[in-house]
Amino acid sequence: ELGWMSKVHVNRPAVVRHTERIKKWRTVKGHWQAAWLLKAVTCIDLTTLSGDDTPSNVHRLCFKAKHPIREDLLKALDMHDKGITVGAVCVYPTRVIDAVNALKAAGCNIPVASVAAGFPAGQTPLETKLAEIKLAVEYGAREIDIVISRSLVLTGQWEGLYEEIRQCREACGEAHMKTILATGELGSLANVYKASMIAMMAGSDFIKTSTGKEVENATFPVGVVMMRAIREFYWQTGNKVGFKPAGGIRTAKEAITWLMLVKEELGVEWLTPELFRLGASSLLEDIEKQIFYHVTGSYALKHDLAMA
Amino acid sequence: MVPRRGRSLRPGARLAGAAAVMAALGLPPVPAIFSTMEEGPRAGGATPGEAWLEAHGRALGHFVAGTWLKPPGRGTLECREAATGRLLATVLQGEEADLAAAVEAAAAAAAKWGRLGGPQRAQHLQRLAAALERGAAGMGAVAALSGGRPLSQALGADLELGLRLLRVPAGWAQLGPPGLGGWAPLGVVAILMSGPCSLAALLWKLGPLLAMGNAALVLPPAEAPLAPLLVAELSGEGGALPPGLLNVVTGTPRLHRALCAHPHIAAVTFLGAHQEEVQDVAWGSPCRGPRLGVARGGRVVVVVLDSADLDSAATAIVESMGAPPPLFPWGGCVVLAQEGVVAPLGRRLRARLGGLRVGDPLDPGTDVGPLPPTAASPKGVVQAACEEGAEVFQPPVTLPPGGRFYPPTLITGVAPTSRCLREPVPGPVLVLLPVRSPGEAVTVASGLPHVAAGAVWAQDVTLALDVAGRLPLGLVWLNALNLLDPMGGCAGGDGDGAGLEALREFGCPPWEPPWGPGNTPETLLDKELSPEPVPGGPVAAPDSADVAAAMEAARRVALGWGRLPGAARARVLRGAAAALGGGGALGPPQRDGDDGDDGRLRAALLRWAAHVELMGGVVQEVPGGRALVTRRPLGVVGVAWSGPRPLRRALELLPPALALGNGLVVVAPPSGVGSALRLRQALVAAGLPGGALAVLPGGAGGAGVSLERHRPDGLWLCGGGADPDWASAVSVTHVWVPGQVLGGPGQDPPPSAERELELRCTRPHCLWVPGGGP
Repeated sequence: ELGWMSKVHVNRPAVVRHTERIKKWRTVKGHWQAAWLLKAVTCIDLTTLSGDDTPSNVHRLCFKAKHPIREDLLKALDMHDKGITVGAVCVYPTRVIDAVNALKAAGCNIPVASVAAGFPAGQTPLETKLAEIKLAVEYGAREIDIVISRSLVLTGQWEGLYEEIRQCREACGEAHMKTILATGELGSLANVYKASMIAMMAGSDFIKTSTGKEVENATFPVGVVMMRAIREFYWQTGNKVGFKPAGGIRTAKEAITWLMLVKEELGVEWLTPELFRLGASSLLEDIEKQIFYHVTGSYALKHDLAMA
Repeated sequence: MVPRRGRSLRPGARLAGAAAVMAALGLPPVPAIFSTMEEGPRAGGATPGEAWLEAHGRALGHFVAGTWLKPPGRGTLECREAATGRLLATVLQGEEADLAAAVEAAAAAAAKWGRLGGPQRAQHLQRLAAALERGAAGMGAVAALSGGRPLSQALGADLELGLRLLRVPAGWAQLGPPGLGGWAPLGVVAILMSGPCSLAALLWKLGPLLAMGNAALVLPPAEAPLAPLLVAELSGEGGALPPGLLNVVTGTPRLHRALCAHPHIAAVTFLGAHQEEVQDVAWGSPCRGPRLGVARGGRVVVVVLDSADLDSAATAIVESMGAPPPLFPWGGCVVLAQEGVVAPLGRRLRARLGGLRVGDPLDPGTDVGPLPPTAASPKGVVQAACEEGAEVFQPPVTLPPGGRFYPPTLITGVAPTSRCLREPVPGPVLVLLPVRSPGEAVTVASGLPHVAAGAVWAQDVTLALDVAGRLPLGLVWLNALNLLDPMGGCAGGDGDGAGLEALREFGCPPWEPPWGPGNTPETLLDKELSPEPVPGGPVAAPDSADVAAAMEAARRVALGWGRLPGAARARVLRGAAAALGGGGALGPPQRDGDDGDDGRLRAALLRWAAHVELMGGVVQEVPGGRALVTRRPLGVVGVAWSGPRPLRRALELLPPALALGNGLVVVAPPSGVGSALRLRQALVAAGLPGGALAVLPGGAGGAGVSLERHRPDGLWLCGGGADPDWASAVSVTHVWVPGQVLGGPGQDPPPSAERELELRCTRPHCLWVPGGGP
């Protein structure tokens, strides 16, 4: 079943040229921009992954997740009754319970995603990884973001990688599994493509670019290569796997480019929270600023928008 | 948080109004966009272009001597918007008097401009580039309005290339182009644009032309005269160019014929012209012969091998079919895919075609605009393919009403006999053919007509280089498409586009007397060459069957001879030189150099043996990677050493041609046959394949015509009175009248002659290797 591996070829300069072109010439303006930004909001995995996370800042994050954009701004755009919330809240396993409770208090059904399996480096024994996943699910996480062992990719142990991800998948049970490839540490775009395919074959619901902790995070060329793998997998099996760029996405403009690339490579049907997520912490703030500007025609000050 | 100063109330109030306005205009509300994720229009692209047209009352004249010329009583031509057919503006139907005025202005300007130093000319050219950059929005809008070129191209790659096409010649002018010392300007050069040629194509000629000190007279195509007029107007801004250097006279092809009558026009360069048109204009013209610009039919052949990154290949191919490379007129794209990857590639191409946005070229998000007014519709060709049983795929895109839009089309299941492969196909049409092996890809690609450039997609670097090297094309991209730069070859086809060579087209070499009215090449040759007595009266032209047989034999061996390593060819030449010396390598040295024609011939053999031993190319840094620029043999060159006044030293032209890997068919005059045969004998004895050099007796005028009929790859006319040959020789790309390149009788060749000979014996080969940049 690994015969396709030798046929994987990725030409980096060509991919880079393509993404540059999309970035430069595909933009949206006016009302279209507002709608696209709101779409981006619904796809955000609002994330906090810091050593100093406590119940209080997770609580704050969850309420922001429920109200990502000020109500009157949404009303002005006629979007107040469309249930605009972020896609999920993403935390460390130890904060899952806090997040679940906060979201329950806020009275909403936003899923909690937990990173697991030795995040971020993945350099922990498989048993520990599986145990961590099971605990996170037990705490109430409905989505699990696992990391892969980069060493398996770099040394070409594809069967081992498949087996590891498959076991993680089993450990996830009912929860959605997003597989973080940590593309900045995979060495080449061809490896990114191969690892994407293996992760999808092993049953991932999403494939995700990075942990946000690597030196190189979600870059557009890497995203394009992963999306091309997703489309190939869809053509081969009929299964639609989701895509999640994460790490270093901070501006509304970048978010639009990501949406544009998804539309270009995979089509509009991928532009839903079920198949596309943006992992980000500060992105929402910039999007809200842009929407504020679009609606009011003036720039937002700090106190105009609620913090996360 | 509590918003202060009542700011929370404002947005609602404002937006309620805005939403009502949107609804009234029938624009989709945000929730609707949210569900469809459409991109929406982006307006405003046309504004700068429309403003320019309005400023001129939508009635433009000629641009002559730095100002608008609107002689009374002229008819008008209509320019229509490509996307809608709406009338944009009118231009004048020029008459001969207008042409005369423009030529006069250009001649006056050329005299001053030619005397200006190179650095000053460079400054002017840089200012011109800056002026065009400032006016880019207007130029882009005009290109999109009248030419249907998508704004993302017109303001993106086209503009970037256009500016480079001015700045590179400016750089050469600044430094004084190496190897062109002593070259003089020609004077007034006419640029004749017809058919689908772009603004970048105009700049491609204009930059070198101006850098070499000439003045230009541009005759734009009747269907699309606006862009050249705008460039001419911009050229006057801020004193970028002195008035009179760039003149534009609009009119129909009837006007082109009037060019012949103008003694002040030193040369005509053709852009995008039909062969017949060139013939029509060139016939009887006293000017320095036709210089072909971009030939019609700029097709791109893409070879996709089984180690290719198929996704990237499909993306690049589909992207380029929406907007073909700016220097090639619309010719369509042919994809040759190895059988193992045809299906997956086809699937990707279809998916990408469905994602193309066809529509208003003025929207920066548009990929495919309408067909340009100068291009024919591909409908007939696609229809013919359908009738042949080909599979024609067109994604379900909605075409905008009005205008000449054509849906993106993929044709599969055709053979090289189909019309869609024999004729250039304008418009967004792609033909996908399976090939069994890389070798077959080369064979099929070599057999396609109208090919301007090629691309090879393969991650296997050895195989990719191998295939790229064997494609008989001047411009090949590895794992890329449509990258153009003046330093990395941008002409495609057989044109000399790389770097300095572009300048040579517009200069008068020191060995040719400066050209002026009443000083035509013919009379000059008559004056300078000693008359060649023809013993036994007039000689008949060579027998056509003999020429055919010689040509056939030469073709058979030329390829193999050209592929030999330079050192092997050098050995043959050195052997021949030794044999000709009588005493071999140890022959009497004291007679070297001054023993007349024979000694010179031997010296030439030795010199060219050394040249070819050392021959190499250059690696040119270009945006995004490197281009390897090398020279390849032409193939079989016909040498018409004949005419009323045969060139005495024509024999010395043969060593470079052979050394650089060509096969030769020489028609020699009676007085030269003996020595030519002696040279041949020496070369063959030294190891030259017998067919590579054929010597036929002949020598009457018209030998060139009889050689031309057999379609050699190059044709040299070594003799006076070559004009009739000139005009008939437009079917051969590389025609050359060597003139006095070797110096007068008894002189040594001038210093820059060897470079000239090297270029005349070869064609460029530019291979783009993207990636690996610093």
